Amino acid sequence: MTFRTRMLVSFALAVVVTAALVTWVVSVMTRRTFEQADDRRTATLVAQFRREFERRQEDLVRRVEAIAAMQSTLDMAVELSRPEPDYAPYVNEAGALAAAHALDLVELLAQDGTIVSSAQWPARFGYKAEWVKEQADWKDAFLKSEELPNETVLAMVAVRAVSAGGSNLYVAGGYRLDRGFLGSLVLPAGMRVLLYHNCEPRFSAQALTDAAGPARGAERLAPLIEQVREERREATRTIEWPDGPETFQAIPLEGRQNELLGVLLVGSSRRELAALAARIHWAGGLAAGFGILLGIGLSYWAARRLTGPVAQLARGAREVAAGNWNARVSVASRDEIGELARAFNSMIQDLISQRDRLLQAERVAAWRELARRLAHELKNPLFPLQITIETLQRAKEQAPGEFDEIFRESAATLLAELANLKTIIGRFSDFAKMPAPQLEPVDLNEIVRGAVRLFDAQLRAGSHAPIAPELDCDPGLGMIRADPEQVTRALHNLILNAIDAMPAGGTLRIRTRRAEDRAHLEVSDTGQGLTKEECERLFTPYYTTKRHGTGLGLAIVQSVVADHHGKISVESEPGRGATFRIELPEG
Amino acid sequence: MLRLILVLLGLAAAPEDSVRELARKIAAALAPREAVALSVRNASSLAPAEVAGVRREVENQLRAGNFTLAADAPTTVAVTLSENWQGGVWIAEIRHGDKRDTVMVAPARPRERAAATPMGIDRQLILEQPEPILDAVALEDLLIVLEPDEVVFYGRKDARWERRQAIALPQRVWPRDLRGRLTIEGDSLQAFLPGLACKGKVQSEPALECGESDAPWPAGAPLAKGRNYFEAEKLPPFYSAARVGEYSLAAGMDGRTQWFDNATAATGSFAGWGSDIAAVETGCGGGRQVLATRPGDSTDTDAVQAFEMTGRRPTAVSPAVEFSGPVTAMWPAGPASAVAITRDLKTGQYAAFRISLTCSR
Amino acid sequence: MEVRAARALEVGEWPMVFETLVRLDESGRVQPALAISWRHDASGQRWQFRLRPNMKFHDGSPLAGEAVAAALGANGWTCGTAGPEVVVQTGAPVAVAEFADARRAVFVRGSDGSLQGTGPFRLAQWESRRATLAANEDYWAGRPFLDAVAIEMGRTAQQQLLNLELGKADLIELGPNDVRRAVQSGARIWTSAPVTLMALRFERGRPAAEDAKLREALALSIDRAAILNVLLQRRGEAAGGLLPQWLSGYAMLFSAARDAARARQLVTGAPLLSLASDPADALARTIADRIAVNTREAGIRLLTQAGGNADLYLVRARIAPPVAGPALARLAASLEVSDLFHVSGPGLESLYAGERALVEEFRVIPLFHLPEIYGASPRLKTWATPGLARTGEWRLDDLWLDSELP
Repeated sequence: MTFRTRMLVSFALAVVVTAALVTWVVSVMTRRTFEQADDRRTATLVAQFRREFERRQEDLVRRVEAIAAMQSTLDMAVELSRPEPDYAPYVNEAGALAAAHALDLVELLAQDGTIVSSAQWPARFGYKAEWVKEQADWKDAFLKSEELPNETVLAMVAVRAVSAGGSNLYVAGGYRLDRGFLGSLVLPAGMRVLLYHNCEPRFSAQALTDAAGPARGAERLAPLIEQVREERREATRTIEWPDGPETFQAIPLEGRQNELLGVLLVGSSRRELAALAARIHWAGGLAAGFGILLGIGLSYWAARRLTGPVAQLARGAREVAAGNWNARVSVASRDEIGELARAFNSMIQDLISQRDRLLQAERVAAWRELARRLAHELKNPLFPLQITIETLQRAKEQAPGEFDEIFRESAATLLAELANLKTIIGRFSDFAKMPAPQLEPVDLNEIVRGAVRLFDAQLRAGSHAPIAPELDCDPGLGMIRADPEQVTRALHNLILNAIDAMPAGGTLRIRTRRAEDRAHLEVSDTGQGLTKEECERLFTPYYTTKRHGTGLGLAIVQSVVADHHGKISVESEPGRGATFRIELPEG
Repeated sequence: MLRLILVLLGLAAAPEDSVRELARKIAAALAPREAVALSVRNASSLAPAEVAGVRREVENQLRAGNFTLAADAPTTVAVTLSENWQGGVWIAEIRHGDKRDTVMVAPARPRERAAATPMGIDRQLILEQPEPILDAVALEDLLIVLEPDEVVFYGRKDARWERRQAIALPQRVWPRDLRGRLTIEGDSLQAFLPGLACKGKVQSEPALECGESDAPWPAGAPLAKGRNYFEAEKLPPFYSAARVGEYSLAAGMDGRTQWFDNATAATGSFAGWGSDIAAVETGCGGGRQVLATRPGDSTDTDAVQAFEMTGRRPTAVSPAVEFSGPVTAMWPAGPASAVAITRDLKTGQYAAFRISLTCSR
Repeated sequence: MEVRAARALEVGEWPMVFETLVRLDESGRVQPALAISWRHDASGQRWQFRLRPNMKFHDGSPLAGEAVAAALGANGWTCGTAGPEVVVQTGAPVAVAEFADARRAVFVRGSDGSLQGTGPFRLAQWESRRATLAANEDYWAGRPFLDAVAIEMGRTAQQQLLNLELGKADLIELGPNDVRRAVQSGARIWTSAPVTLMALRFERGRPAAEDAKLREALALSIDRAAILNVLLQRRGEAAGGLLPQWLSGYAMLFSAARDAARARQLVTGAPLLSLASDPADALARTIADRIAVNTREAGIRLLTQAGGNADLYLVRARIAPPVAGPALARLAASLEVSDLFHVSGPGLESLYAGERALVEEFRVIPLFHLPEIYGASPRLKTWATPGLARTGEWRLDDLWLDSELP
């Protein structure tokens, strides 16, 4: 992971965590505030509902009073106050009164509870309704379980007595508390009312209705209803519906003798609150997401800004490592990065100077080495030359007569030494004017075989112990682009070196192989081997461990290898021989 | 222009073979020499005498068949003399223990009874005046007239009535077809009007005390509030009522006269009478008769005729006495007479008449 | 005149247009009509009627014995003429009163296919809901006072009452609870004898109908008195038997009393039955509801419905002719219990036994005998005979209008 990526991740992480935390806290606090507000709203709505219920009760009482105050009702009361009254003419009165006063239930009852006329059950005339005698004066509306031909319903009932002739005619009027009643209540939005008519000991889903009919999901409300039935107190519970939560306040409905007739459930939808909460989450999420993206963007930019100079530095260092000593890092900032850049630049500068000095020194050292080598090499042939010439001088001086003989001998020696000298100088010259390689497809294996054939005689020559050549050529080694002459020369030099390293004989192993698009050539001997230090100095021109030789051989090899953009290395341990490894690119 | 159809029913004499047939069937359902408790009930138009005759004959037949008649016998024979519209249906229910037998005979249709000897009917004008009269009571030398607004006392002067005093009645808004009634008992006077009853003295300083009242009128029932008819238990509303022998009669709202047999609790109705009836007791004929107006309304002239109840049907026992307008009220006034108030269709004058029945010559 | 009847009126139900050989007067006595004298053989199966001379049908064609024989032959009797007499072989003993049955009216088809009778009115016009009768100028008992009678059918009670009050109708059919209002608007009330039986009929084949104890329990649980007093406004009689008292003379032997305790003992389980009443008859619906309240106390639950298939039906059946035997047979047929009605011989005793056996099956539970009730406007007057016969038929020939009244 790059520094920039790490920075980016760190920044992004910081932003994400912060955004998430903030969103959560805000969400929780907002939600709590809204919940409290919603609770207050629910309480207000329930109070409103109660007032509406009371209003309906008062309205009912007024209507019943209006019926009781009618002249026709009074006339009826007078008629019915006679001994052995005739109810027959009034049997249909209640129905007409119910229709006229928009009531669901109207009953006219005589003093002894006899039903004179019933709107809701017309056929019940003549039967007794004992409940009407239970109270002397009737004031408010109350709840009652009303029996009808095919069902029992819950009703809100009010009673008024009309006195005439010493007896009472009771007018009982009421509303059915059914879905029609529930639908007629004026409720605020988001609120609904359900009614549970408690007629059976066990909970019955059919007994729960709302303004539209039997309520759905009745089973979910069963525990709340049961609680109210047992405790006879109001209770509140929130139910989670698929489309949102709803809080129900359950109010027990009691009759005149405090018997539980039903349970009224006032439901206040929490859907808006839930939706609001969801919206907040969404908004928070969106904001967080946006913030994160922004943060990432900013992190990226910041990381770039911060790591830019660092990258530049890194790039500069890479270039320098690759050899481009002109690489500079341009950083203008004044912070540590800038300091670092400036330090880098000055370091490069120093390195360049050092390198130049080193180069200079090396060159001077190389010159010195060359001069030393030259001096060394030349010293040998020059000494005999000097001797010879001195000999000649002496001869001329001392033995003029032998001068011609001596002159001939000396001339031969001079010529031989001069030839030697020429050879030496030729070698130097060769080394000096080694040209750029002329690359062409070359079969390295063939060159190796050719070289071995060439040196075959020398390897078996009697001047030293025989050296056994071993050849291991990789057939998969194809053609390589190389200068055949130079490669041949390098190979010859390595073989010569190997021969020179095994004066007691041994094995000369030459191996070629192909690996990773490069041609590998190994020349191994089983000679004395080299120490570590020797290995290091080996390729310095004129470094030789041989007694004779110019020491140029390996330098030439190294030069050839370098010209071919290859690599050369040596591996050796004293007493264990040496292995020269050359890598050449294929093309 | 209306004539009443006189529906005459009744038995001249019970066909003896029907009685024998009935007795024979009863005997066939009994064990030999069984003791029976015999009861005979009349649910038909047979006269009491005829019913008694049937009973006697049945008893005779049973005794002749060696059956013992004992009131506490376990076996009961309940004979009901019933009828359908075509004739008699005599039924005997024999019960011994759980066993029940029913036998029937249908006596042949009886002959028609001869028309009763007509009685004489007489009308006598008491008073005539333009103001409405509700009722009038005429004593020897005192006439008291009930009018809508006052009670007027008249004294006799020569052969005419002279107005002496008037006592105002409480101001009221009277219902349509106002009715009122006056009764005198000894010295006390009672006046009945809708919702109002007044008491007072007659001979001594005439004075009236009136008060709200829904008490029954002499007709036996209170006047229905705001209406012109009476309402009593067990009977539908009626305009006027009369009691003749075992029958209570009431002129109903549907134009028919309802009869109620106090003995057998049977009830029925017939048409042909108007809405004012009054019972009178003459002592001749059947003893009690009913004076009835003709059916019609206030735009017809009216007539009053006397009837007797034979069986369940009225039989005219006098000619009809005609009036020049409708009879607006008729009340019994003493044993053998009634007071009828009429309104002359042409002049609009109200007149009070005394109607009396005289026995036949 | 307005009639509420939605039932299709048959030929025989128009005694004003079509006459019979004899007729029954208000006392049930047989009087001559188209026949002036008659005799029969000992078995009562062969009758000979001498026709009134110089009679004509409404279209002017003479009333001949052949026409009478043809009309009477439609009853399944073998009829022929013998000189001026019509001979009728009835195949079973009949009483002379049966020849007064309106179904035995005499009529012919005129040249235009219309029905021609001999009565005081002729059928001037006949549409689906309206008929016009015109006076028969040559009626043998005297031309009727009225020139024409327009009969409208199919109107509701409300409409009829309104028309009476407005003076648009002179005679209207009334239900028991309309009487009060009619009287208040000045109408006179004409009532016949009870000529309609209101009863409960069990539907054969249904489980409820096959439980004898249940049927009896239902019969014992009904409180007829309250229904009669309140819903029927005391117009009618509580019925324990099928025939009314005025027709049979023994109706009081059938108990119409309620015995709720005994009814409860007879009921096992908690039976649930359906009771259907005529959808067009609101009074029947109310009575059905009341019966349901009564039976509930005996433990029987009745669900009332308007029309449709049910275990029980509240039905009305017309009691005709006004002769006990044939009337009972016809009632049994209309109540679908003919197979349970057997009369062992002539005479009231056998008839009573047959009726009692039928009633004690409780497949039909008699409830009430109801009269025909009509309201007449003040201007409609009668001469000698009432406009409504005791047997519930109209007798319009003696009606006249008092045109002096507004």
